[in-house]
Amino acid sequence: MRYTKKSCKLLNTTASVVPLHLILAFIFAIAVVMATDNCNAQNVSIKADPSHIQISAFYDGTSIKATGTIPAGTDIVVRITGEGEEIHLKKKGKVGGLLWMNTGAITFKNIPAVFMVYTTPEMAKMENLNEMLGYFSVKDKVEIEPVDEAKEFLFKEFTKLKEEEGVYIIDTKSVKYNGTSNGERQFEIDINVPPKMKPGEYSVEAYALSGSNIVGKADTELIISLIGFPAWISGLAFGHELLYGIMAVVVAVVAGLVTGMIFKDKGGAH
Amino acid sequence: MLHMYLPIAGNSVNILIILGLGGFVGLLSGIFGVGGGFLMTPLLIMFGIPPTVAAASDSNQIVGASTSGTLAHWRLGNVDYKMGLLLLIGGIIGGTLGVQVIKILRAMGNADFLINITYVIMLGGDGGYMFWESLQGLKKGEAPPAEEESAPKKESAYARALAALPFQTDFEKSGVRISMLLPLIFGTLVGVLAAIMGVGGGFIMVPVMVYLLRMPMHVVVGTSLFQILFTCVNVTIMQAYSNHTVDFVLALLLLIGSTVGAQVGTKISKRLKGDQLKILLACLVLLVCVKMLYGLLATPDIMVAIAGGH
Repeated sequence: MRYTKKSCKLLNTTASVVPLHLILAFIFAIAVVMATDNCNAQNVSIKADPSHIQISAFYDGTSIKATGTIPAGTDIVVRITGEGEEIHLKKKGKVGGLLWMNTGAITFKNIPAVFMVYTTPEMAKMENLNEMLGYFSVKDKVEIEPVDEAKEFLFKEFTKLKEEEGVYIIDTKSVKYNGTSNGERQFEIDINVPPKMKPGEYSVEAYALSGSNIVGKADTELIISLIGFPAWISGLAFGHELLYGIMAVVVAVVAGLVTGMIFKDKGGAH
Repeated sequence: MLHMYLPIAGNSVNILIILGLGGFVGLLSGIFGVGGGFLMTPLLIMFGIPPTVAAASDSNQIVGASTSGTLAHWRLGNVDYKMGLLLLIGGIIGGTLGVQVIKILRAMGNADFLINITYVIMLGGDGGYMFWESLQGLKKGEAPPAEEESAPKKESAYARALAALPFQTDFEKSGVRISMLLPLIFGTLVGVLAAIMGVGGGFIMVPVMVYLLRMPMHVVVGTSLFQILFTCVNVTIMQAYSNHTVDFVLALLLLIGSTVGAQVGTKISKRLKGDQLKILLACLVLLVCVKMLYGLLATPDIMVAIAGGH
């Protein structure tokens, strides 16, 4: 209640100071911007097929197809990002001017577990794409502990590490355009989902770019979940830790004894 | 079908590669009585397993391999339980002390330097001495079995010091009479080193038993496996309970390979002479030392690494 009264009071005060035609012009400008934005948003669409991946015992990664539209005359950048996570790393440095070894521990907080960017070779050459939509677009949201002056360098090294793991990718070969109709350009991307992409929710975003300006955006969700045996093992390991540890030891001992018996029966060990 | 998903490691692996890795390390375990942690963990990391999961799951598979190996060596009469238990008690005390040492060093900020230097000195010294000593034995041309060759040639100051210690006990299986304090003290020292280096300690314990406790090589292998079995049972349960890093599927695949490998290794070990066994283990230890040194001297491609592992 108090809030409403205050707001009304504020509006009345503002109205009495600023001329009415200026307020109307401002409202009109906002409406135009919103309409343009809305129009662009409607012109961009994206769909992931399948949008739900199930990990069973013999899963070795899979592939999905991302399809959609962007306004004619624009280019596509599709970005897949995972939830922010905390990663503990070791910094390497030279000790005594001779030996390379770990010289300190660092923690990255709120860093996406997965970061995949799909675009055309021409767009990838664009100077500020990395800051706009690439790895460096999330750099400011990432916290490094302890605070390090070389944040940018460490972040770059981290992306190299993740690229080696196959979960940070800048792909310029998979985007295909399937023609333009009714002012809409259709795109299609074959996306490889590596087995290292852990169960979770991923955001699949499509950006339409005209030159270096983002003119439209759409997004969808990709879900990866465990089923069957991996789901059972994971539930046991994270829900019944002690039981899981004892079971792991008992199975190992029994397997060792059984193998020992089999070899004895075959006249091996003795 | 050739791949299997590891829910804790969060990656998939080729079943045949993991079975092969398990078989290879199990073979070494059966021949030399080492757990193989110092080899297996780096290999698993190479195949995309996170370091912490690689180390913990490896402990789990060593439980299986050392059960199989201990059983085979027990049948051959190669396990000295009395000695093994004393070393184990020492190892537990040393391990607990070592963890505290590491905590203090980490707080002081030079733990990694000490770990690396300890690794290189231990591997280099251990492997170098074993290699030189076995080579001398082989050069004599008689290729005497480990039991005879390990008998003291002359009464050294070390042997006199051993004889002067209290609580002298007969270790029938090993054929030695030494103080009960010795395996306890050496077990503690190895435990401290193992905790600092983050390994089971098999490759340090074996030379300690051969050279300092003067045990015959074949009994050393069986006794070492017996001790490793208990150490790894403890580590597996602790890691599963506290850190959720034991991947049972990975461990199961590894141990199918390693239990078979351990049996084959035991058979090979039976056919090899003491000096041949020692020189092979020395080569292996020196190889790991060289790899470690290269890692310390070569400029890394990436200046950060995932924390954890050995």
